[in-house]
Amino acid sequence: MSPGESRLLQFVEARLESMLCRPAAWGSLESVEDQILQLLELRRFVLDPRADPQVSASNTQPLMRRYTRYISCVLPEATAAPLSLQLTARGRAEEFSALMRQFVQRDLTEVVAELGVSGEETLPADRLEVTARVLEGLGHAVRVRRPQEVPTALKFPDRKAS
Amino acid sequence: MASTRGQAQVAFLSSVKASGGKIAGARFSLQRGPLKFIEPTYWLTLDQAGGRSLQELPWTSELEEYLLFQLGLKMDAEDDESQRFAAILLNNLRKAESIHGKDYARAVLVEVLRAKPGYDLADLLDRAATPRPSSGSEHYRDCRTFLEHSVDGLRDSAQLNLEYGPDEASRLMEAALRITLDEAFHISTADLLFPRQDARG
Repeated sequence: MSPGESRLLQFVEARLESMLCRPAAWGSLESVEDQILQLLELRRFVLDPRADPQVSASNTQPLMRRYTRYISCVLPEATAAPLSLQLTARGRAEEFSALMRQFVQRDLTEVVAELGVSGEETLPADRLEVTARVLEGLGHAVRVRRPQEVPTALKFPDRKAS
Repeated sequence: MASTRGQAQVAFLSSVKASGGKIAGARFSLQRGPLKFIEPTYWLTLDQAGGRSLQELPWTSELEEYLLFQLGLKMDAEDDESQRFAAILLNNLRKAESIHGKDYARAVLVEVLRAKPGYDLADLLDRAATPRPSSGSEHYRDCRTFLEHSVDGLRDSAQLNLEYGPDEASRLMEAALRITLDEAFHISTADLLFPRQDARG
């Protein structure tokens, strides 16, 4: 993973966290929902080194399939409408952040699982690259919630054993 | 007064020692696992006036300096010792990464270890997907010197502070370096994520 991609992932996780903590600062619930879904597509694209930019840019189906499956799990008699609208219609708009946070976490788990399964025909070096990206992604997801300390080096005295 | 967690750990153990207590047993684990971050931890059995207690202490560089350089404390089991050495190497690798960048520091580590044929690491080094770092810069020299000094210094400390024989020290270092490479390049985790392909070889 290049430093630029790593920075991008870091940005995505930090922006997701900000939107989940303070959705009102980022617009209406419907707008925030759209923005979060776009960020999740971006996260998935960066995590998968084999993803084709053209195909990924025009194909929202994998994410939307996961999303509608999730909505139907958490909302009885769910429709195809955005989660924010369905929650508002039910008088449960205050649950939006918690439910979106749950999906953001679940989506990462599902993406990790999918990357492993779909890697059956990839070269060993690509498999290591996918793994490194997945761990980098998980790392950013964790670090955004827990600031990382700069380690102190263990210094060894200058001397030689025989 | 202790201002960091490591200083507090050292102050606590020093006070136990000053009051006649001693460390009667020492275990260590990185607590490794698939898709998780390591949690290097000491479990020290303290003997204070005949009474024993078990202390769980997260690894810190201050605690390690105290146990390694001042007390010369060995672990009770060889496997624990190699994991402890790996914790030290991984900590110093992270330090190098924080200065020189992750990919660069890891590439330099691979080069440092390729130049040490005394350790049997070829299978892991071959799987460490990393470019060859350019070697003309001051950046390279600093990073290489630091990592080389970390590896050689730890081996020397294993003999001088912990009083392991040369063969034992080499065996512990080799095991620790294998863990370090595995953690740094996620090799076991990659095998877990792609089990079917690996089964086919």
